[in-house]
Amino acid sequence: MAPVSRRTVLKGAAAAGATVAGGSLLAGCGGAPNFNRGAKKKLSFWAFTDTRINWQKKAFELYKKERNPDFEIEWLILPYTQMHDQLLITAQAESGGPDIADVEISQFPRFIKGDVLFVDLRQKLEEMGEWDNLYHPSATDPWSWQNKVYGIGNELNACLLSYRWDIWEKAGVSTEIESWDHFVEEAKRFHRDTGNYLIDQQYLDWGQWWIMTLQQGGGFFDAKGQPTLDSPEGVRTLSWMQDAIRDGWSTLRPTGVPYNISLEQGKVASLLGPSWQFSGFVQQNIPGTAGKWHLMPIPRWEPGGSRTGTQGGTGVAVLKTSEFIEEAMDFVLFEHTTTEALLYDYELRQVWPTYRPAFSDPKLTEPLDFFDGQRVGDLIREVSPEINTAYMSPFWGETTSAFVRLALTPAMQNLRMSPREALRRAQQETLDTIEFMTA
Amino acid sequence: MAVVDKVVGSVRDIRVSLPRRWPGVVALVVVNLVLLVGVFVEVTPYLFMAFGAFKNNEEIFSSNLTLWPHEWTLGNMEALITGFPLARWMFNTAVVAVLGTAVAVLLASLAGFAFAKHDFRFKNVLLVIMLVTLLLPTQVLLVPQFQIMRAFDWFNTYQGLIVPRAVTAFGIILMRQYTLSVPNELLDAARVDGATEFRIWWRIVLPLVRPGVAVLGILTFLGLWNDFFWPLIITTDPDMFVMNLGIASLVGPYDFRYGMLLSGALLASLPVIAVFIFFQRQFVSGLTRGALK
Amino acid sequence: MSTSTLASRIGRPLWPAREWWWRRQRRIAPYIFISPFFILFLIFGLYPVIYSFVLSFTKGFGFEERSFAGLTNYIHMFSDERFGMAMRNTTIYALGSIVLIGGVSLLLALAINSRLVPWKGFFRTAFFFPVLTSEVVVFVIAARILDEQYGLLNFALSKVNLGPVAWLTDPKIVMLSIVLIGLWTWTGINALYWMAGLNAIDNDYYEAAAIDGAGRWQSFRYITLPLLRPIALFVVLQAIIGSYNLFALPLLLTGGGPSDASLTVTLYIYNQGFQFFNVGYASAIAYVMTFFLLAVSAINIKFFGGWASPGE
Repeated sequence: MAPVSRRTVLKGAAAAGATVAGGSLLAGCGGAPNFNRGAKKKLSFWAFTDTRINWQKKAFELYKKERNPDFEIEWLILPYTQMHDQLLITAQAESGGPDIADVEISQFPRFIKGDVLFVDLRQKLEEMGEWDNLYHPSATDPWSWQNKVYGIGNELNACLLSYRWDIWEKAGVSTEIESWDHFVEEAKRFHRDTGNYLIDQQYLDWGQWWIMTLQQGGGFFDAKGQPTLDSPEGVRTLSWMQDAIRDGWSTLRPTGVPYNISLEQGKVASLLGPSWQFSGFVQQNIPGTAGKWHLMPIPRWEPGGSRTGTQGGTGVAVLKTSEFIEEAMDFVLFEHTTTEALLYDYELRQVWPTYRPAFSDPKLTEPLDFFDGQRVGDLIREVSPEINTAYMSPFWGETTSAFVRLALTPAMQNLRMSPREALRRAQQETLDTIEFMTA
Repeated sequence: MAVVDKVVGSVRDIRVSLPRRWPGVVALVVVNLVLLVGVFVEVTPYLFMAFGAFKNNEEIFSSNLTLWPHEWTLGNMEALITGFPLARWMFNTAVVAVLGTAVAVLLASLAGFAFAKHDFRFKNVLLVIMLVTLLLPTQVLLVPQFQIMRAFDWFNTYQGLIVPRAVTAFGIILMRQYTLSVPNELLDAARVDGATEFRIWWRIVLPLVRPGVAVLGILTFLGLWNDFFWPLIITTDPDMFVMNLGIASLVGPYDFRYGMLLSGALLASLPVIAVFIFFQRQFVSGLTRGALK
Repeated sequence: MSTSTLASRIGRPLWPAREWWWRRQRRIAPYIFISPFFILFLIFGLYPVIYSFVLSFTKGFGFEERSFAGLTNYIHMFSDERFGMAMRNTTIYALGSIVLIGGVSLLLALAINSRLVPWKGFFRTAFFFPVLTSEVVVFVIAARILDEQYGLLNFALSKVNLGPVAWLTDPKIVMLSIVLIGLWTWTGINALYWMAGLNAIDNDYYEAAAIDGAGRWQSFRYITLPLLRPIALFVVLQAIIGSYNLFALPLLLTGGGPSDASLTVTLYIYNQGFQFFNVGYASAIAYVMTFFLLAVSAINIKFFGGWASPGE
């Protein structure tokens, strides 16, 4: 990266001097720092977490070995919210942004209002003959809008129930739970016997409601992108969550560090989520629980229902403002359609790939120590066809925000509030907001 | 009469101060105890940060909160210093804070002199405009300011970090107040001697408004040193980060390097503390003698 | 302001040519003096202000392809419950910080200034520490101290059989918690302002009052308080402006939740402008808030009897 340049310092001093002297030299003394020092092109890649950069760095090494490109990549990590905010602003200003960026799934809808800032990847994928090899619900759907594909994801975020088998075993909880009804029975007994909770209720964020509603085929939007907060599926989930608190066998989720402590001490003995949650989050924050976790499919709502869902995930997008669109696309599509590259992320974070040809790799079904030797891959492969389609909308942010503020949090804090009414209010506010913004 | 009053007064003082001696001791102890408790409350979080810098992550996250580390570790500092361009960040922050303060104070004093001691057209209109802009939340201005930065191509440069924030209406209003108290006779005398207005500002006004310079200087320095949003918007090159931005990038929803965050914050706070302790007296006397009188 | 001419003071004519030049430079000087500041101010201050004012009458996402919307954005505010909520929370914080921070810091200043306290410099510096602790760190620490289950504060309360209090997740409590953090942060620097005011009061006043037989309370009530008015104005205005710019702390600590219970105006502007990309509406809110602040400031200045400053 750029060495300490005395020139820049002097330029700064000159600017200060100029302003003191009368500010007349203002425009003259600016000038971008020179990034293209070597002969090689430099592409800039923005991300918001190390863990996602790590596998892509390794993928780039592989890319260099196989394709011998004439460019290097400069990796930059910025804080999560700020990275996405800044991406929006720089793109609007049409300069100062990166060539490639990680875009988180719930942030993506902000970028499809008005002109989309990203390059459509679909045509190139089809030319490469890879289009049909992708598992679309996780690879392209979340970054698609009006038949264009603006990003590509490598994470098949199938959700599972991750539980502390040591604690469950000690309390004699059945590990053959098939339905939510059965789960509630076990949870009640577990709470009566130990005073702890088999699972908690997430009330300040939408993750749990989303997974359990998607399981039933509901969600925030329908296929046309209209908000559907007060759908029967959504009302059913929220009522179930309320009952869990009312009947006393569950508790509201603690925030921040205390949540880690609850999981570590077994006060809360399971969690719902995809691999970035049960592997990434848990391994990073409570490494002491290694070997004490097992995974199982999520209990069904009714016989034949889905045993999984999908939540979160991050895709990679190429910016239209980039000088090197071709180069950037070439690398991004390479890393998402090369089994060897994708398996790096499985090694690092147990991220199951979205590229079908990689599914059969034996590495994916090896036993994992963190899960007490369980073959996690088999389970993910088994449930992933059951993921229901999740629909997006440019108003994802407004909708999820209204849902949490007006429905989820107040209904969970005030058990007398009717879930249907709460969801209806959130739905109404969302519709009003959309009308105001698009009128 | 007055003399009699004074004598009577002092006699009464002596009389009442005898029985008051015991309550006086109580008051002394109570007031100082309360203040010490206050100091404890105010300083503990800082100490928590300072000692936390030497704890490992497990201890920072553990359920029992202790101030003193069980196990001292330099791991955080080491990882921070070897893994990140820390010296560079510190240097950038210092450049921005020192140069920015100098520019801000000089510009504000020069303009404050004009506002306090000269008549010119639109003077009051300009003052009102500045007052209004002082009240507007900075968040709305970020984007237009960003576009200006783009027009000048000032991303990742020191001038981009310094110049836009060196012009605050607050500075002019403050310096105007201080300059008003400079006696007109002094200025006129200098004029008789044939001094130009610039010379008068440099040789007479600036030395006399030193208390104001101290106040504005310290406030500007603190603001620039601790600023987060502006550097965030206009720097993307890690070599141009300032401390605050650098350490904030250590923690995100997927990264939890709190030990390193605390180490960085501790290092970042040391120069500011030094500056404050060093200039504390000037700051307080500046406040006393200036605009607030 | 005095505009004394030189001639009337010294009473003898200067050399004509020199006088001509001298008068000229004196007349031009103020323009030259303000120009470096104002050129920069025009570019980095005024232009953005006007630009966002224009935006407040438009609709559309982002900054390109905007259409004129008249007063729609301003009218929408009246029916926007979130805006009402944000104003409410911000006003609670403003009142809380004026009363609590203003009051506590005045008491603190009186205590440190009194003869009872020996180490004044030590206390001044110690109470200044929160301003030196980075905001990100304040957030990390506050989250640990205010946590419902494992926080230090509830731990202390449980020792006296109180609580637990959901400091950050109970909608009725959360603003109080944020006011408390504000108290912790800003007491020290406000005490400095008060101390400056106290030191500036001439001792003769107190001696004269003592001669007239005034007690301690009386001299405080009739000398100290009235003479502290300009400082009080300064402290109150600072508190109000600071309150309406309260942003980073609720953003980091609660994100404005639960259910908007700690949503502040500036945070809402940020949400609308940057999160939802509703730039026109965000600008409109900012302008309404600015005019509100102007009105409040004017009332305050009236109430406290205007800026008193030497030379005016």
